[in-house]
Amino acid sequence: MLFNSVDFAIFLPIIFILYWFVFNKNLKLQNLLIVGASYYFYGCWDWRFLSLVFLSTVVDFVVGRQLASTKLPSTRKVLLWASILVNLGVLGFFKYCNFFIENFIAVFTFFDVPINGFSLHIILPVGISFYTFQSMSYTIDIYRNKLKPSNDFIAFAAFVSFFPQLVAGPIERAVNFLPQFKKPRIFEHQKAVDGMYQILCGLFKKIVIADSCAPYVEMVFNNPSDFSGSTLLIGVFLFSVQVYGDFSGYSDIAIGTGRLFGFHLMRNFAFPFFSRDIGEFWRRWHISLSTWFRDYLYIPLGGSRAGLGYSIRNVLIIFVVSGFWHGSKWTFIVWGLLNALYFLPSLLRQNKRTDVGIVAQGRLFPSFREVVSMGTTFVLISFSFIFFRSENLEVVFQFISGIISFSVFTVPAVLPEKLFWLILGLFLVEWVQRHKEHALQLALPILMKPVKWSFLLVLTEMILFHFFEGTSQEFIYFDF
Amino acid sequence: MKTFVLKIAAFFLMLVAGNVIYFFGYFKKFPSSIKTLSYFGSQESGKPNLILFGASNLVYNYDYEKLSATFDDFNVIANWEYEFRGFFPTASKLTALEQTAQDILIVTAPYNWYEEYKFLPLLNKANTTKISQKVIVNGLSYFPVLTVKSFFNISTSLNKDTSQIDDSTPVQLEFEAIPLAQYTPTYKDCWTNPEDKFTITSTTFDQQYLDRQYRWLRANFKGKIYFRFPAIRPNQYSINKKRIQYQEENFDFLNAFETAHFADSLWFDQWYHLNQCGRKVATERLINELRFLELVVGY
Repeated sequence: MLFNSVDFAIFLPIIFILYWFVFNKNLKLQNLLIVGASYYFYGCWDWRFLSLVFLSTVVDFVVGRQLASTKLPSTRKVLLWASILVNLGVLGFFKYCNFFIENFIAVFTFFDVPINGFSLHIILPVGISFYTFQSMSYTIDIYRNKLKPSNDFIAFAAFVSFFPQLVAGPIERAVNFLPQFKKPRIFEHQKAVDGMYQILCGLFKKIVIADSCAPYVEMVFNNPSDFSGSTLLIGVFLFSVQVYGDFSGYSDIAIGTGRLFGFHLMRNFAFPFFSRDIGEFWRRWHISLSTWFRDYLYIPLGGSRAGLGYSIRNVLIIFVVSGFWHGSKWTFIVWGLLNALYFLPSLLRQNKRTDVGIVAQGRLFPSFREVVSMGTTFVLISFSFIFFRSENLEVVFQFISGIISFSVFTVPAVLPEKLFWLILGLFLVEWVQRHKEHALQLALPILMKPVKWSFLLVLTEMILFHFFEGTSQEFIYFDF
Repeated sequence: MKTFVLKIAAFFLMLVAGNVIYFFGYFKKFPSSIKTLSYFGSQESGKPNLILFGASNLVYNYDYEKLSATFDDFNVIANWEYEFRGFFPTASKLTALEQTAQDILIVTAPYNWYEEYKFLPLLNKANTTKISQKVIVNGLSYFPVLTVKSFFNISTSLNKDTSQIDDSTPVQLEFEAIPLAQYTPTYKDCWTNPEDKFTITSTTFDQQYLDRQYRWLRANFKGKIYFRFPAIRPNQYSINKKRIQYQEENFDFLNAFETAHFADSLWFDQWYHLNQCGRKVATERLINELRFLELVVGY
């Protein structure tokens, strides 16, 4: 079931009513409702893969309890590795099996040793990269004695399968999120209203912005050799906007929906295109994943404390793994490597983090230096997105060849003016709201309420207009 | 909680009210623009029309230049839309053509167009044209329950759409002699997709529904109506047997189910689209059927 569908528009109010009006007096039943609704939500896509969600839940629940009851370090380690292996094993099989088979065959073929290959027709279960990581954070935190295990299976199952963030994050931490299932939720009017605003914001970014960019992006990336350099640049720019609108839009809808049910989900995007350097970008983009890797991979590897050589190694590992997490293609791995390379200059200069606050804090307009920094960061990130989006490395080379040719000075074949105005409008609103949690966190005086309602109605109309008459797309991150 | 629910309800009501007002044309937010309706073939005034009615099977399966040359006393036209737009929106494009009583309509539609949910889809997922007032108003007058249901159709999130024929919007008809898809190199090389080209599932059979479709066509088309099985694989018979039998017994068919089969090598990317080699065979068959029709009934 997609967030941007009529099915979800009917599903959500039903669950909301049951949650707050029927089961509100009983926490266990409320959690059970969440489990049921979440399994239904996921099952609408493919009910067979509910077994994987269930497997992950059962394994980690059992491992969690065993970890707490065992004091022996060796046994605890074995239990932890059992959880990690089960989760990563499932992930590895469904996501990476064909990649390894194909590359294994390719290596032998390269050395003129043909082998009879095969590939398995494996469907990638939606959300597997997200819920396995979320479930693993539970056992790892118990192992580190940061968290006590849950004795309530239903609460734990609800934590793993919570439908707003089950298929595309944010990847929550058990330390922050699981306790929310163990205490009664109280309906807070302001939080619910803000949740609705955030849902609207997410739908706008997804349906109006991202889905409008999609046809141009598809056209350009499917046949880059057919287009001039200037058209390819437009395609890259639109893809950057598309992936941002798509993914941050989904996160906004997930977080907003969570708020409707009294849950606080972590922020996943903090206006990343206003970043002044790569480090800041990665502190603002897909925050839940980058902090997961930081806490469970980068720091255990030594982080930046073991010397420059180890810092560089660890950064490379993190970004390559992050690239690989996104998909089983060489283009993702190269994308990860490229981002690691972007980090190198600051690592080598051993720069202390400088851009930690909000850009142009307290001012309406950025300084010239800030504009240049933001522009440079955007260009670097957009360039890396060529690898992210391309089907294979051959397409990447065609793309880059096109961009570095003289045809980059010609008039582009596509110039969607209306879309550019919409994108500009979005970025202007986000700029003004950059110190808020999301772009529609509006705090206006009572007299401005009619203005606010008119604005929200127009926004909703635009969403509906594009939904019924535009080109609706699946969420990009469903492929991960 | 009460305040929250009331606020949501008020917002929703304002939204619905605004849309109802806009829909009935009392408040046009956007200026009208000329709407282009696309067909294959050509239309000259003074000649009757030989119209093929279907979906993307018409993009791939027929040589319109050859048909026009063979039946030069007719305008050979393909009235088509992609399958996801549905039967009714595609059929309503017929009303934009200059029709005569000597016209012939050959209905060669994909099977799921005979299913209720594909009849009048109104929710969009892919490339679309604007929701048409006329299609909806017509739908409400002929098929009110279906029309209302299609607004709330949640049985599938498949592509649904209507094509636009809005009374207040000027319409321009565009005829393409050769569908662009027929220029594709793989199509011209008679390539066939080696993988299973997708599963065709059985469709429901509702006799009254089929009759109503035919009555609508009858009411909105001036000439003669014939049905024709689209290019198919033999295995479709067993899964759609009842409906096929009903259609054959109650409607005028140009061909028999058995003569609509094509060898596997003649298919293109899916089990409705023929490649260039298949197109030649399909065009010849259609020509023979029409010649037989001329001989037997004088059209």
